[in-house]
Amino acid sequence: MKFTGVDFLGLDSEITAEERLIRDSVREFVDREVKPIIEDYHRQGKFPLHLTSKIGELGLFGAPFKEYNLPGLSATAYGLIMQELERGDSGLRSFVSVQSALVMYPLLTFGSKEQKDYWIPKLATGEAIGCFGLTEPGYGSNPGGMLTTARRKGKKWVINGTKQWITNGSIADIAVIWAKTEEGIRGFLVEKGTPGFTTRDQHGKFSLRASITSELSFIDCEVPEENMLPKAKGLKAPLMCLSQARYGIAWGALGAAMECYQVALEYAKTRHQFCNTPIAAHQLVQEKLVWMITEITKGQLLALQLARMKDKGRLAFYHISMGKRNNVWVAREVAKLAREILGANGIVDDYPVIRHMLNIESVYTYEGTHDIHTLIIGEHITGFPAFNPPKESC
Amino acid sequence: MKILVFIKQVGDVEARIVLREDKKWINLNEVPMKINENDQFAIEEALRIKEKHGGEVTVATIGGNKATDALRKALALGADKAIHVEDNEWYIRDSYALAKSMEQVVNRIEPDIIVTGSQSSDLGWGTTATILASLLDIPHAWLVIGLQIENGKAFIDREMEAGMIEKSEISLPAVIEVQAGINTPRYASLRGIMQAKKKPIEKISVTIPDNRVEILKIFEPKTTTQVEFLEGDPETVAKTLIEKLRKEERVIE
Ligand SMILES: Cc1cc2nc3c(=O)[nH]c(=O)nc-3n(C[C@H](O)[C@H](O)[C@H](O)COP(=O)(O)OP(=O)(O)OC[C@H]3O[C@@H](n4cnc5c(N)ncnc54)[C@H](O)[C@@H]3O)c2cc1C
Repeated sequence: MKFTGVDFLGLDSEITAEERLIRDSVREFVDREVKPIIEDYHRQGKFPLHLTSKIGELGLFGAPFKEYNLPGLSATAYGLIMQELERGDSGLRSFVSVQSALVMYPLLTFGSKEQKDYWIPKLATGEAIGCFGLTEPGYGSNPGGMLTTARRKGKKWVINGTKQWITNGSIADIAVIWAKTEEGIRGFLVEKGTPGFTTRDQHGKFSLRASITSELSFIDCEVPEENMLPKAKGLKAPLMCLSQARYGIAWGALGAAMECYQVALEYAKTRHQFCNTPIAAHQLVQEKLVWMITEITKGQLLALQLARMKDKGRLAFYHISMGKRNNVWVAREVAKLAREILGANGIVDDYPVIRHMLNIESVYTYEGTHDIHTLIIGEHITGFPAFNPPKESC
Repeated sequence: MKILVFIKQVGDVEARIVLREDKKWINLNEVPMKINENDQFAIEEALRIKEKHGGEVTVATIGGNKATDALRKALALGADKAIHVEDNEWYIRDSYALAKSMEQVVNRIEPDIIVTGSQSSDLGWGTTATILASLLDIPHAWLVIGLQIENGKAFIDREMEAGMIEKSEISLPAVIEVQAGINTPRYASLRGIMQAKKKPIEKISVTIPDNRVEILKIFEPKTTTQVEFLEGDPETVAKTLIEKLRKEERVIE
């Protein structure tokens, strides 16, 4: 059964013909190039690296940006791309998210002209792959506590520390690394093969298997002075990057949810149990399907409004938090319900559901865990930051 | 080289089929539309001719409002301009009526070569472009799976029965009706999609002759389940099964 999208409220008419064309082109790409191979890559725990140049040809890297002749898409079109990619696999969407939002975005926003001139064209075609190193073994939700340091030594910076859970880490040609300096947190470009910089892949993952996650280690790793991102100052810079990526996830997660829903719906209509009736005719199954499509539809409305606000420059980080928090949660619940509806077939990779269900666990945790987004929105509406444990004084 | 591609927008049969109340056609408001599969290969073939020999690709379709989506897609893939023959009743036209409309487009463009799919996935008559060739009194080739152009001639491979391939040479202008699989169609890149906005879609109206064929109704044949038990030892059963699959069901060769 071909994936035709989930559009209960006719939201297709709210997007432009061009946005539909973009979405359908990516959908076709995913159907032809990703769907036939993804379960195999997922089993083997490998990323389908051969897709990189094709994604580059399509123009999906850096699609929302205008500089360097990039496509400069609307926020909706960019979101729809993320949706379609994640319908393929969350690992694939992560790959494109990292390249666009966490590598090209900081370069374009905080980089020097030389840095941009050199890297942006290569990243846009996929000739170069990037990664983003913020998280450390001891600092995940609280990256501000990072231990990685960079200190000046003549015309060089010397980096020491460890980054963990870094998507694309070992395959990246360029790593955007955040480190503490005397002047606060700064960003650095570290090229693959720089002495003192080594990577090690994370094995034993049961989620996001078709994506590479690595540990990066820096031991007296020296990079030239001009490898610092000149305009990135303080923790705000990496957080701005995360906002870009989180926006994409708010759309992406819906892609995974929509596929799980469609597979479950088809399955329920064709699987017969008790008196030879389709399981879709049972009230309990209908309730699950209705819950799924209702939450997906609400998620779509949320994503669409975020897109409109983004295009008007009115989107704040706490708005994005609501999108990421809600839509990834929806995808998580939908995947779980779809798995239930498929019964035993729900646990095998003949169907994409179990893969999506496992993938979403990563998406739920990275880019700010669900609960961290709760605290971000909570702080915004109450005025009380609740990240740190309550002080003893009362 | 002036290359003209005719494409048709059809209901996406892989998605879902919803019939109209009068059962004479699919419900065009309910069924998602796409470019007919064979025509996607025709567009790709046309783009390859242009890339090799230079020239211009015009893509044309006969259809209602929604048909612009198909043209936009073709422009995004790389066609240079588009012609939209406005006909809100395109779906009830027979091959002859369609070919008559197409003839008028051809006379306007005066192409060196006309490329189209061998048949449409909705009606599947596979005759429209052949009738067009005869109206224009030019050669044509159906089920083309290979195409080379040299010295103003087309060298073509045609798919024949029993896996055989026919090689032939035909003079241009000609109507080339391609078969799915002749090439690998490209994707519409974001750049292509953005550029398509600036490419022209010319809307024209043509005189349309009366139909000679009328569709009375479309329906799903009643399926009956028949079970047949094959008797004998495993070897005999396997042999009979192969025989039946080959001769009666014709699902294997
Ligand atoms: C597959 C994958 C890919 C990743 N890719 C990247 C990457 O490319 N680059 C990168 O920098 N990072 C990446 N990450 C890391 C990711 O961003 C972190 O895992 C995430 O920020 C959570 O950090 P943590 O795992 O250390 O969990 P912790 O921060 O230790 O959190 C553990 C639990 O405690 C909760 N918690 C923490 N603090 C609070 C609080 N104040 N109040 C209430 N609850 C709290 C959390 O919600 C969570 O449930 C990736 C992670 C995964 C799984």
